[in-house]
Amino acid sequence: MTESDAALVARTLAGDLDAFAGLMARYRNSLGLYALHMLGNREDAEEALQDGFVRAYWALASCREPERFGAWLFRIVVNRCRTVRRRLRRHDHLTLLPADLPGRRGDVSETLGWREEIGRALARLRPHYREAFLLRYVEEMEYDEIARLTGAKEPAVRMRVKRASDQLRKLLRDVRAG
Amino acid sequence: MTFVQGDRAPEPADETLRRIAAELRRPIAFDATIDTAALQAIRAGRRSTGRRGVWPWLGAAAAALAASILLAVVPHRDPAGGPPRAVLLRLVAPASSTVTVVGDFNDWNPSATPLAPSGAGEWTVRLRLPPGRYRYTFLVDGREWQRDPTEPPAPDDDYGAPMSVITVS
Amino acid sequence: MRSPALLATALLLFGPALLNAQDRRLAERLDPITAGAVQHLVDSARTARLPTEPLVQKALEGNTLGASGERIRAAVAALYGQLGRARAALGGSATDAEVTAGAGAIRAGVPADTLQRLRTLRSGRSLVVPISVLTDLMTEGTPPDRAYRSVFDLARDGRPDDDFLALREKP
Repeated sequence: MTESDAALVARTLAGDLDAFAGLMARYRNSLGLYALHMLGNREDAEEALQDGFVRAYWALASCREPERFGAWLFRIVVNRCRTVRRRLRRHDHLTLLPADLPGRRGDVSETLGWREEIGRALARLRPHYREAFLLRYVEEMEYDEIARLTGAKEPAVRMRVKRASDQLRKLLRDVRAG
Repeated sequence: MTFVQGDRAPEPADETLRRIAAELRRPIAFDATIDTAALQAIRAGRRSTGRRGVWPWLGAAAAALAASILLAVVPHRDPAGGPPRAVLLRLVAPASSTVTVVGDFNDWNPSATPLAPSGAGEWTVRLRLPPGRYRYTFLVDGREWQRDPTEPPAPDDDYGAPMSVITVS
Repeated sequence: MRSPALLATALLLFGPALLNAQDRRLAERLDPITAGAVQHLVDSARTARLPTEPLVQKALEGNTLGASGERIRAAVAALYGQLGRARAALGGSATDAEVTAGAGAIRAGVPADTLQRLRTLRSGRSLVVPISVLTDLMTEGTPPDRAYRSVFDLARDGRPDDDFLALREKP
């Protein structure tokens, strides 16, 4: 039977690093996915993720709802992505390499083209728009949740999601999908 | 993936956005080496808290004196700055054959830090810099100075060349 | 076991000789007159507890950019003055990085008492990023009052460095 997040947090706080390893393994892929789309390449995503894990460990005593550890950790990784992005100053013209994208057998050439196009289009969004779009439509968060997470007011979040959506739609309208 | 209790966020209204969202949600695997590296950092942090001084026999005053004299002699960045951070410098210069960067971080040496072409006319180099503020500029084809348009211009212009400043925190 | 006092005495005896050694980089790259003049400013800076590396870098910058010895000496002397004013504004406990950032701010037109105010509002935390952001805002043409107000507000509220950096981003 798998242990709950709350149980793993409690064991970590008691000094058990294996328990923290269990938490990292549980969330690595899903948080890595957000970081990858936000930062545009695997190397930066891994840096943000690793950094987030270490910070989460040291701040673990301040996680007030251990049963919602995942959401708490996600907030840390979102902030790490912002810091990594600012420090590395990833702006536009980011190219996702095919190796950075989800692998899938089958009609590689056309599917790869579509995925690359999405990656390119995403990379051309302003960072705040990209972040809002990913949180809304990939992480499936409500607007008020996104507002709390990012510190922006809800109307600003809605505006960012809309602008991101408009821009992505325009950039990708003519691309045929696989 | 959702962390929210209650209703899921609605799907995007139109087909294009639905396809985009679906593609972006497709799971990918990240290597467990990330966890390993994080654990290493955590263990190193756990070891260093509560570590005793290396030379317990050296009085605190003498150690401080030695440190201040040594630091005065050796060129150094501010020791209180913190560990070096990764920084990416980039310049779009499609018609160029060489691009290097000169700045406070490499003694303004024009051949020390070349950029590499990374596609679509873009040149990049990844540096590790201790926290601080650094003036720098690019040298294109060994003859033209170009400042980094993505960073603020340097406020001082002592020598007439275009210059940028980056703050590493 | 050696006595710590013996070590300290040895350092006190030999320290000054080490302090007066010329920076190899200046001797290698500048003409002898300029190297000597810059070294003199570096030694004075050290005595005055000002950061010395920015002075060396300013000289090397001039060398790379093909500036005359006279121009290099003038630039380094100007920077020396700015570092001194920054140190006076930020106080004796300011770090080298803070004093260096402060010199850049003074060069960009930030008054010394603005730096002093920032120190008061954010005592106990590094001022490198707030000062740097203030300098960048001024350089990019933000009206000074608006730039000061934004930075002061964040400092007063105890905001982290990332929030200052975000001031430079467009909404």
